Amino acid sequence: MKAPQHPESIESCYHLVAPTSRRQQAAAGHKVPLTPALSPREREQAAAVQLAPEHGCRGTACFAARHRHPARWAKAERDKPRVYCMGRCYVAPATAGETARPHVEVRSPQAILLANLVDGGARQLDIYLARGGYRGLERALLRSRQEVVGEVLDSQLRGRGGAGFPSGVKMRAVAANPSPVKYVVANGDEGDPGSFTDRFLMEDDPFRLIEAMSIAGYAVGAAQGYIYLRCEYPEARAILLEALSQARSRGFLGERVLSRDFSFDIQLVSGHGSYVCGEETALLRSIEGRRPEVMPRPPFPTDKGLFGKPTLLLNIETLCNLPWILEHGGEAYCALGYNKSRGTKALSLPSLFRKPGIYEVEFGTTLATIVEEIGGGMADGRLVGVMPAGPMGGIVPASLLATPLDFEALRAVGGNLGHGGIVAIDEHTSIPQLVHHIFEFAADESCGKCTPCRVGSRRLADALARALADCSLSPGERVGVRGSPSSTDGGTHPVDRGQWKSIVEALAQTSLCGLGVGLSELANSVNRYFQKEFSPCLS
Amino acid sequence: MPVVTLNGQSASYRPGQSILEAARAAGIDIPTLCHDPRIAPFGGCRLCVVEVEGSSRPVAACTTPCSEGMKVTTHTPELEEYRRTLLSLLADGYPPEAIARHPDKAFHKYLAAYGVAPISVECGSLLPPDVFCDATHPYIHVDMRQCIYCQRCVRICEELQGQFVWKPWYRGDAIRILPDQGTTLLESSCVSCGACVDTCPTGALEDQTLLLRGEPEHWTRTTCPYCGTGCEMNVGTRDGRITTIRPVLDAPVSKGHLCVKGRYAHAWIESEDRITVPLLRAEGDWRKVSWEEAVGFIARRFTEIMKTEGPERIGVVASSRATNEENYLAQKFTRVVLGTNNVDGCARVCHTPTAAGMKMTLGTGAATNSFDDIERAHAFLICGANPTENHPIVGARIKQAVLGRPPLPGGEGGDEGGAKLVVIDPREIELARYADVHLQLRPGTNVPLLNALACAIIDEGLADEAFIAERTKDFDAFRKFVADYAPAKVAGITGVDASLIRQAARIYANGKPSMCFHGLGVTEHLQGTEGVMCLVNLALLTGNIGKPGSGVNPLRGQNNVQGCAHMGCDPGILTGGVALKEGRALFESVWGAPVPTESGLNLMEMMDAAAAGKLSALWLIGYDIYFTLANEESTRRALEKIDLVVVQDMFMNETARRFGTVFLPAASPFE
Ligand SMILES: Cc1cc2nc3c(=O)[nH]c(=O)nc-3n(C[C@H](O)[C@H](O)[C@H](O)COP(=O)(O)O)c2cc1C
Ligand code: SF4
Ligand code: SF4
Ligand code: SF4
Ligand code: FES
Repeated sequence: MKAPQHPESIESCYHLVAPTSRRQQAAAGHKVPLTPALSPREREQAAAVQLAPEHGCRGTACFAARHRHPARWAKAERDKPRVYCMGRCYVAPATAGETARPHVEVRSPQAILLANLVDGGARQLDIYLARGGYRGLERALLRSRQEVVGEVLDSQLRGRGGAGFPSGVKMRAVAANPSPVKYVVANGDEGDPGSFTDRFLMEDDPFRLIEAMSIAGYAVGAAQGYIYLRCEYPEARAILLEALSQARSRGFLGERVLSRDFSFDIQLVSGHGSYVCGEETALLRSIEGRRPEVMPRPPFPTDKGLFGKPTLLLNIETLCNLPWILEHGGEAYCALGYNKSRGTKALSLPSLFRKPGIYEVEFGTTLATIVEEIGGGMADGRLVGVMPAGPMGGIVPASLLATPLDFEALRAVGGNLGHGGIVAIDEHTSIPQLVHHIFEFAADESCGKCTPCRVGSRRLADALARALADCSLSPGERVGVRGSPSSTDGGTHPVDRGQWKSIVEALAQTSLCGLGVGLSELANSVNRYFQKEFSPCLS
Repeated sequence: MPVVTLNGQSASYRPGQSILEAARAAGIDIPTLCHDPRIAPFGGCRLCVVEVEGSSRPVAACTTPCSEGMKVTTHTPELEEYRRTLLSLLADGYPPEAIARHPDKAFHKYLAAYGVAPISVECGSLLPPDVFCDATHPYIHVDMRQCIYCQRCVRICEELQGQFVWKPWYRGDAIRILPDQGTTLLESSCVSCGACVDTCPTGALEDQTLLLRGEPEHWTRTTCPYCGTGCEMNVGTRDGRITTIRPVLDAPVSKGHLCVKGRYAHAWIESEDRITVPLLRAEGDWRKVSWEEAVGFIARRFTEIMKTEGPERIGVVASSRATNEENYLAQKFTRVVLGTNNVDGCARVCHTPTAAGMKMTLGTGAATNSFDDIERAHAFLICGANPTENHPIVGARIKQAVLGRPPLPGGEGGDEGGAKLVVIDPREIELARYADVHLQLRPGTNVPLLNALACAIIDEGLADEAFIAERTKDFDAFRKFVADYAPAKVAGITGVDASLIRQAARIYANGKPSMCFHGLGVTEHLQGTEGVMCLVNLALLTGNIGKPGSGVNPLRGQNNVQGCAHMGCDPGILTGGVALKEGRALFESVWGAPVPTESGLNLMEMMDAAAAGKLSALWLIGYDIYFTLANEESTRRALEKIDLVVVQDMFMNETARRFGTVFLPAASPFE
């Protein structure tokens, strides 16, 4: 008989141990706290998780670049809590203390997102105003809410968080809801390892985000916004807090924004280091102070979101398009792009590229252009494939680089767009190693609610680990095996082909959220393009 | 009713009903491990995936609401294959001996049905080193090697009991279900309702008795013998012993829930100190005798007393713990065989003020609403009752109503805010923690406080004038009377802040409907009847009566208080609440025997008579009066003077020990 101990280490913060539910808070003495027990200001002040400067990243971009700094990677594999991406992939393998900033460049005909970043950032309100900031909100406030929503519909803007859902349609749904209380939530969780655009949009252009959320709040009739920020971005946190307070003291937030009949404020909420908290329903539960597990939909957040109220939840980059769209019109925005993917997209290119950094490109640019021209090709290896969606989507093999950057075109080749972190894989990483890395990531980051993802990803990660430790891959490629002693009989432990197939299928068909589905997409792209490399692992 | 197509057959559904529920109603069994109709759907195990025409992937039947014209297929080779895969994932590392021991658990049945055998620990992945096994709890055994993380325990503890004991800690495959303190279940805030054990599909949580005594072979459905709530239970027995008691899912009052008393408090049945043979006092000591001897002795003594001293010198006290039949016989025996109306019961003692107060004001002395109205009320006034302890199932339902209800699948219904709650009690009872207002009055000041509420309601214009005009009389006199009880003035008497009184008045008056509950904290006072009348007045004043979710509702103590009174265990009232004077002729014709004309003695009067040497025999059925009557000293003096004290009980109680002449052992409710 053994009594478990209360986990008190930092690790506890990194795991989903905010097990309180709203009903439980009520039981604890706060009768039905429709807002969290702490005041907004207190919540902002509440300390975020701090990582030591030498804490290593285990994210996919750092994994792919581990040969650059084996000692650092070895430490990262041991460091607790495990951190998958610190938004520093441009110097991968990265540590938390890395202060270098990425190269930023606009490669689209029109700078929609990155103008201020290229010009050295606009962290002060005055600079933002001097560069033409807040014209979008001013225009919006002169028009009716329906017209603002109409403008976004016209732009054909689609969500940049991964799913590519038309943002105007979401807005229209929230705007049409008669509820007197609504919320706008900015998803600043940027969880996909290999992406760091949202981080620098928040750090270098915080007022654009504030302006964008205000526009969204006006359009849907919300008076309160929340920015959900992952705790791996302490710099963004400090900058956003400062920007929010500047905006508040200068009348850009609070009662009567810009002296108009519109009140709006924004509160910053920090995450606790969980990838799944980027998923919208888990994110909302996290803001509510409940255990952040994925919730079934319907109800969609647009109907019953934060605290049960209609909620417009958009990704940071999605939101940052709004000021430009309101200033220049939806049509102007829609003029750029390709097929059903309109406008531009900011991409993160990690360190395996010769020219890592953040690039704004027009949709329709081919992956070849992105890899060869913009990224300058691989720095020190031969390209095997790119993962445009990080772990939650397929690998596009080098042979298919002619594919244009477009939601549908990428899906057609078994890929995805994710947050636009283009993780390149070169020959330093074998496909089995990559697949093992990703299932290990998933097993650790799964919220644990649904069976296929909670158990399936762990089974496959363990099976791959055993296979890698034993099978005839070169010795340097061996990976550590979690927990269990590997075979001492000297035999090989390939992954059972039938088990691999059925678990992948169960992930695809029965997972509750996009994490499980994304894993199956990765596995299927491996089956499709990398048979030869992967089959030695299968029995 | 709207219609869906299930496997080609059309079936109707209630709006908001999930595919799973609609299928079950249509007799189609979709496998599920994380669903329980008592709690909100979860969508975790994914076993219930079904195909819906037009949807690119299968959907979870438990969380997907039906919609008009939806075409659902529940069993295809692919779906069955997914289910098999999921089951084999869950079976990895699962202890095979658990399956052999309890093949009837839901999870074990699915494993068998899908032909999945657990992979032994060696070839599966390693057993997590930190599994929680715990046997500290007196009733519940925990072995998390059998946990499949369906979180049913977590959710049922939260949603049905409102206790928040089990929690999922950590994430991914490191998830662990542990009690709230992070230590043992014994040290947790568990109140032992057993709901988590009942819902657990694997036996990771199990009743200790079931593990010790084996799976039940017989089930008997019955009503809980403890409090007056009336929960239903299934008693599982094996070899003549109770191995477990489980809640009845479709029970109207308890709705698949029980409290610690009904669920686990049955060990006393086998207690060593149960008396199992009749006892007769001989020269100060008990002597075991046969039933013939004991009954013969009593019959002889009763006859002697009736003949020589008169039947009015015998008293009988019936029991609210006994059945209607038993109570009926007790009073009929007293009246017809003994020839006296000296019959009483504890039912008449504790809630007489309720019966009297409500009868005087409303015309009938019983609860005006059913417990199902708890879910309809928008506000509660709880006065002098501690439901979470004394009527835990009612308490849990009130708690749930106050905490807010989870929505239906698809997000319809449910309310996050929950009902408002006013608690009037000098003590900080558990519900006070959930209350919007807790009026912590000085003991004995119920009446002025309740009048102050009436005063506040009237002078804030919250009275329901239309209802008053239509349904009440003498309102002006009442208005004038309570005007004297301004909250500011009453604050001094009761020690409750005037502003709190006003706040409570507003909650109750604006609740619409507001439901009132009271208990012995109102009735067992010098002004008990008046207290009840005050509560009735508040209901009348605000129109909170005669409507769903409203009313005045006494919470009675023992399981058959109402029945005992109704059977006529009352010196002046015959069966069915008929007054002796009016009903005597009818009863004589039905019983074919004379019924004494004079109203008899009630228990208090019997005690006075005994003290005055005017009572010779007393027959006590399941009532330990020496232990429970308020003044032990005067009870002792009375009992000492009675020649023949017959005690009928399961245990040697204090009255019998000190004063008993004959002891008749009683059967327990389970025998
Ligand atoms: C497992 C998982 C993780 C996600 N992580 C993020 C994230 O870190 N950032 C993000 O913007 N969206 C993330 N998403 C997508 C969100 O659920 C949501 O669709 C998105 O934030 C909506 O914004 P959009 O319409 O602007 O894309 C994630 C989804 C899943 C399933
Ligand atoms: S697929 Fe399931 S377990 Fe995995 S993160 Fe999504 S909801 Fe959680
Ligand atoms: S017995 Fe009841 S109170 Fe205790 S943990 Fe289980 S559900 Fe919760
Ligand atoms: S203990 Fe039982 S009810 Fe609780 S999560 Fe585990 S299997 Fe489910
Ligand atoms: S910093 Fe390591 S993957 Fe992004």
